[in-house]
Amino acid sequence: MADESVRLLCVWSSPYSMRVMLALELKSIPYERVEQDVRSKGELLLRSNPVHKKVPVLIHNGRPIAESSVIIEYIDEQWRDRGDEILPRDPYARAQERFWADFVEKKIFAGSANVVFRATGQDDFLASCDILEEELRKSNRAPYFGGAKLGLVDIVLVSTALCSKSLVEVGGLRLPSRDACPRFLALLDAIREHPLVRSSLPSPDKLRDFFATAMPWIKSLS
Amino acid sequence: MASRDQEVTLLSAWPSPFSMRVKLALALKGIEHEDLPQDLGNKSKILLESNPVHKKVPVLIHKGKPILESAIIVHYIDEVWPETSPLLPQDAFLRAQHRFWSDFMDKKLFDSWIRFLRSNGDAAVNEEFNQNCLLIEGALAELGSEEEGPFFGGASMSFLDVLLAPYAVWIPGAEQVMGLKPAKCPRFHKLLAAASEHPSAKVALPQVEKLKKFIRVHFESK
Repeated sequence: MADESVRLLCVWSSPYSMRVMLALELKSIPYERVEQDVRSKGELLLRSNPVHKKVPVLIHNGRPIAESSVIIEYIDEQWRDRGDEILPRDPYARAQERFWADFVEKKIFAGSANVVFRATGQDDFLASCDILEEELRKSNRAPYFGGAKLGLVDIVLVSTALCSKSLVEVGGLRLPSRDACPRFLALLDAIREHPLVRSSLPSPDKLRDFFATAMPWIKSLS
Repeated sequence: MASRDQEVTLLSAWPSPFSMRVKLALALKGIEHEDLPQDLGNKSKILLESNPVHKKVPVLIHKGKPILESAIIVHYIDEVWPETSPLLPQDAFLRAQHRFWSDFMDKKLFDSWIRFLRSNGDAAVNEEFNQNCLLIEGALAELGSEEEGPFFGGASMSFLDVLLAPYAVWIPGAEQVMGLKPAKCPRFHKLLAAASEHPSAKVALPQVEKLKKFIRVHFESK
């Protein structure tokens, strides 16, 4: 492993970058963070992700992999025997995990972005939180969606867990109440408090301060 | 092995490209199953119970447990029945490339496709779709070996070929009904031609004439 080169083209405040960083941390993979300037995209980023020109991009031994969900599965497979598994080994459990990761990405994460950046979909967002709450209740998954340890769905949720303060205080998002979605909110708390999340990812306060200044620019991207 | 093959049911809809993908994967692997065509205008109890979150086809039900989302289902099929007609590559980096393009197909390619149909053949959207097809052509050049065969998988169909195959009937359908002007993508079109001639296509892909009637009814503005 000594000659392995793992570089991550990332942006510290980017939700997708955060997810990949957490996956790398969970697997204890040493990597180099290469912070990108998205307003002035560098040649390395454009060369490594010509299709989307976006972060994050993982460059492993010189070969680039783009799209956070793809990168995370790659990390899980490439370093299969290192650290904890991100996806379960059983095919049915894997399919469930992928399904809920997709649901969280489209309905919770993108759902919250709709409310904040397009001023629409607040009710849809709350309905999606209810659906996730019901899944947590039925399946008894605790403290994390992955059970005792963080899994793929928790990794996808980390951006919501860390950015929720920003989205609520700066963006006007309404989260469900503790009465309506106790398990969902407890899950976000547990993810936020995980030692690796606290040690390697930006704090909710730092993100809130960032969003307060960057909001107009971020809105202009939507 | 016998018990694994028992109780495979597919909830499908014949025009749905997502259903076609799953039918193709099942056919390629020779997996016996019961196909239950669904009336999406009058959703059945089994559909609503097995996919309460999205209420959509396709749904694969294996030993009583539902698996949802076509790309996730195809992954599942490949993982449970790996020995026949393997779809995803063995190498983790190549697998990541397949997943990257799968993500591209489901976001960019399909999104421009559905907007083309809903716009009743708008030229600007046609051009957007074609630009996305050109990227697929590029991916084929990068990942497929022309000497081995027309597919991403060479002589045999692989994951990406299964995901793309429905365009083998949908593109001619849209050409003839809505005047779609396809992009100049010789390898992509060779892939689609080979897919439609593949023995497994007989069960998975509908006749273009039947699809044309469907497109006229559902998409052509009166």
